[in-house]
Amino acid sequence: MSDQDLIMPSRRAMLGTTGRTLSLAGIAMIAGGCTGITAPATADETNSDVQILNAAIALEHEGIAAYQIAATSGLLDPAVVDIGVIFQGHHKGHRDELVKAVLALGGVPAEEQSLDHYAAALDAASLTNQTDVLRLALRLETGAANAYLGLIPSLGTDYHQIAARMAGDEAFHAAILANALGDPIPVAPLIFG
Amino acid sequence: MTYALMRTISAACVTLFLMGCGQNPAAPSNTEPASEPPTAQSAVINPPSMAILILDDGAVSGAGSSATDNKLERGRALYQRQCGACHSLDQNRVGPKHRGVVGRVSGDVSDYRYSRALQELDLIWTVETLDAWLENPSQVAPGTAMGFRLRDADDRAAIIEYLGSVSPEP
Repeated sequence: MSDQDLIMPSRRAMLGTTGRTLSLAGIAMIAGGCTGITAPATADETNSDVQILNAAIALEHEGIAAYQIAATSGLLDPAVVDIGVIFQGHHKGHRDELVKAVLALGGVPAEEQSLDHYAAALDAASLTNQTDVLRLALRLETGAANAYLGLIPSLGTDYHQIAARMAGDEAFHAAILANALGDPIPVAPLIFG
Repeated sequence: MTYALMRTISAACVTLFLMGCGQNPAAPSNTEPASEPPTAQSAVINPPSMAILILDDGAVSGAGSSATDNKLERGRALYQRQCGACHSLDQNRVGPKHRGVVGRVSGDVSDYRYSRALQELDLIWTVETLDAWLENPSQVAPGTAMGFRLRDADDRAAIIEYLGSVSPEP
């Protein structure tokens, strides 16, 4: 018997034991997560999630409209319009994910309103140059990042991750807009939330 | 990562962002590292004259500045950052307009469509009820569409004081 033969069986034995232990623990966790530990949502909880997700859809509708108003305002350089269209696409993606979630919960997704409604709500008539538009976009994106982070504790756990991912997108938008405007990088941590 | 490398990357990022928007990048000298530990006034990439956090609508804030010490100004800035995605003072948006909210009956903005939870809620928005609302809206009105929670009591107080300070609707 070589040295390797002496070592290998004991390594296999060790790995086998560990593997069995981890497998049992993993199965227990998975089974717990799927059955006993997480109680199903009550009707009130489901209704609450629908209401909150619909508010988020309304927020995304407004964001999509804001970028549409900005892109067609004639106030932006073409390169800025290109960036805005990409950001608008992100918001459309958010809207679609949220609509799927509301439908999955048996709810009716919030409908978008007219572009004129959003223009009035955002006081678009007061925008006179590119900086005004970027400043508005920054305000909306910063607010949206904070809004998603702030609503996570109220949402069912199934939707925590998607809300956090959307907050990440909004924070990304805000960072680019802030830099485009020449704003300094915030020194303190925990910039959002 | 060394500081020099971080500085180079930061300068490159700023340049890229500004180029993307058709503006001239900041002068290289603005990217020099601070010789002392960073403070809110010094550890910024942009020129020293902009070394305060410009929030929006001209609101300014920064650690140690007089503006930060002004609770109303802090409340205004917080309102913009924390509530501004859905609310404004004078326009109904995702949420109802807020001018004059302190002292108002809940669910009472005539041209705003409230959730059933808010339609059925019967209270006056006072400092106390607004504080409870901002801390956990679902506890005040189960089923509300407002999921946003603001955990920091000082932030809530600053926002509520700011909302109380803005002139009510004529």
